[in-house]
Amino acid sequence: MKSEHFAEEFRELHSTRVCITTYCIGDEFHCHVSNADPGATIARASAKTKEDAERVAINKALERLSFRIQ
Amino acid sequence: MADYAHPEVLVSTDWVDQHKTDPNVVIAEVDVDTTAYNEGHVPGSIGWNWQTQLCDTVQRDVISKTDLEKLLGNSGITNNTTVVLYGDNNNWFAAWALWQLKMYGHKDARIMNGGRKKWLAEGKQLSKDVPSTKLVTYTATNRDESIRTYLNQAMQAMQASDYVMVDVRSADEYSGKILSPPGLPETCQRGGHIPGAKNIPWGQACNEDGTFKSRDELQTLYGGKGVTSDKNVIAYCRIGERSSHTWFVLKYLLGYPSVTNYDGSWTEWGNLVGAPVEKAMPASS
Repeated sequence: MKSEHFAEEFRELHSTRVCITTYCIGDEFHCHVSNADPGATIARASAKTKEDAERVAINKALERLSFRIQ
Repeated sequence: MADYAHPEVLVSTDWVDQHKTDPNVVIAEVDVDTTAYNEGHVPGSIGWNWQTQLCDTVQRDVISKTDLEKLLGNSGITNNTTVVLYGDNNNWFAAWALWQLKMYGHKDARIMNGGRKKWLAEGKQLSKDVPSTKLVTYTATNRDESIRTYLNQAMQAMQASDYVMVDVRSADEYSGKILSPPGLPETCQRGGHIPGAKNIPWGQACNEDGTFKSRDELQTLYGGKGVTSDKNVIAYCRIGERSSHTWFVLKYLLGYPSVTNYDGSWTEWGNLVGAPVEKAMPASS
């Protein structure tokens, strides 16, 4: 078993710069959303497709970030 | 890696790949995200949870000598074992674990350069199996407090010319604009930094692939801000883990003779009644 399709992408979510990391291990895609600085995980998700893992992780991250700025 | 002051404390992902079945080597993953190990890890590696296994879970403190002896003994680690630590976030908590192992006198503890991120990015082999470990006896030394700074020492150091404090948090945490990294709980009453502390975020010591920058680059980074080897250096962050990463860089990669980690960090200082706080960014920033 190996990690495949490892990718990192920086985006803005609720005015916060985040790093979205995705990769596949076995038959599962994993997505971690971290604050770009210092790099701590805000949310994570796993799913059968990259899109699903990203969508769930980003939604969770948006929730946590919006809670913070209220 | 040969250029570093103590290159023996750093191993490459290739070295780990070649030694992952070596009976004298125990590989331990320590992540910020404590569930990452379960996704897949270096085959044969064990996982340690920093929230429950690398601290005192009752009072705020590092792990006790007794608990460390149990943890290492249960992990099949003897006093002569080579322990290789790695983790996510460019080895944040791997460095935290190494700092504690060093406090209790473990001789051969090393960091896998690049951490979990590099291992994954290189597509190296992973496993979901948790290895069965042989129970052994581990005898720790009494805690070496010379690599740690307590609040009263930090207070005195703040006014001493032979000390320099390095705040390794982000610029926004240092300036007091935010009280914690985005998305994480706020753990202090006041934002800002210890007066006189230099701001060098921990991540500036790393390359894009998670490996450490070269010795020359690190020398320029820290020396350029007055964090030099002729001073007693105290690193701090929010809870002491990011600063253990910088402690590792200064002590082992640059070979500074006097470096400590103030693990009480901003969570302690920023909650103290009457503690001096500075908010302004230095003009050079």
